[in-house]
Amino acid sequence: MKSFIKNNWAYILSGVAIGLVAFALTLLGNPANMGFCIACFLRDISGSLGFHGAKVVQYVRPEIIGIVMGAFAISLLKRDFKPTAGSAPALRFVLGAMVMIGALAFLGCPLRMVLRIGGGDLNAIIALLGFIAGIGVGVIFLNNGFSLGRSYDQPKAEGVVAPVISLVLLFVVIFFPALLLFSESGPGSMHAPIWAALVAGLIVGIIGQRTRVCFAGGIRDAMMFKQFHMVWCLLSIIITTLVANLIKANITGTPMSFSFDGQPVAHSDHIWSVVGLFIVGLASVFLGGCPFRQLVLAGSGSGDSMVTVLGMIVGAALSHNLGLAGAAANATSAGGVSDTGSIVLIVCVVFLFIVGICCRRKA
Amino acid sequence: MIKLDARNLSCPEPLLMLKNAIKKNKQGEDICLLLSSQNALENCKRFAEKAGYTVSVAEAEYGYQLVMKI
Repeated sequence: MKSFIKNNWAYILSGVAIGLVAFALTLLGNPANMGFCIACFLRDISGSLGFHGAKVVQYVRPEIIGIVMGAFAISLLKRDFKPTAGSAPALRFVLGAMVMIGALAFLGCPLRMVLRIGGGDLNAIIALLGFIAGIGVGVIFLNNGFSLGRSYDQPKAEGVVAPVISLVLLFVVIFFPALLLFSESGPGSMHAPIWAALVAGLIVGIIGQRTRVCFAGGIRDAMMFKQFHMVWCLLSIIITTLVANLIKANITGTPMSFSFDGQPVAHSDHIWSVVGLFIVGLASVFLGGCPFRQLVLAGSGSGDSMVTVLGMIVGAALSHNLGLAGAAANATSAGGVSDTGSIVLIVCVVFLFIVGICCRRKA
Repeated sequence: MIKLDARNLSCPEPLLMLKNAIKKNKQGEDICLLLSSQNALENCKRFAEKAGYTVSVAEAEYGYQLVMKI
């Protein structure tokens, strides 16, 4: 037990901190079980910039800006900022778009999946199976030589693209908000105060950069190398949010609901949730990290990860413009994924298998 | 000495490269591994030490050179 704590305390504490910050954001105004959701928040930014017309999900989420800036600052401070790019950028862009299409079918990235589980949403536990399966298939491809190839050192200007864009977005939000679109109802209209969200993002970005938190990487490393430290981080996020939600339920007198129905911004279309997160898991293994990790790497100088993030933003626009995203259940509808969405998810799975077969390291 | 160049490869390729080299290293040769990121350094160092290797790290212009002895 002593050596377990000695080897894993940083990861467990990181999980507790991320869970607490996420929970605090929901108390301050973010949608329930959505303290953080990298996919949803990039989708909101995509909408705010006018890339898609879903009026209920348009907002420049300061959490995303904070994560990138936090990772940028700490990577500079710790001499871990390294401008690189050039590892299959076009493919990474497409894979990023597919990660987003898969995540929005489920209604959440792996981070939100974990927060949803901690919030009592049983749909997320079913979807977790798809995520694990996708990672498992990715591990098989990796063991058979899958690689997107090496990146190359780049000038500093390449490495600061993500932090500079983040700063510009922050500047526009504060001084020229009229240039952007903002939801007046729905999840996009629910948000913590801008400074609180920014600070929350900074904290989580710093933690993510130093402890290398990655939701796909954690499960992948447990499978491939029997290294479990990141799994403990994931579990501590779940336990922290679960305990925080139970305390809140106790204080407010509204019992916590462990159920499939009636969960916030969720649906029970299990098959397509599983397929959606299968895509997220497999594509994240190909990309070398989950959406959260891609944001942190983009802040740490990786042009390849920035291209992936841009792919995710475009993927979000496609998801909503073409009606591929899952619809949340409400009083009048069970929600779920449309027929078009289901077909596109299958196409994404086929595409990913082709990528897995084609991209092999040269001996 | 087994020489591995894992510079600028995405996660987890450096670690996978090392894992495969350790698996094949029945003769107990020294392993020299070139890396370009702190993340890969932490992962590979932890893995090699767990596998019983003594790891020495030298900083280089491109990143890090690890020499692992058993």
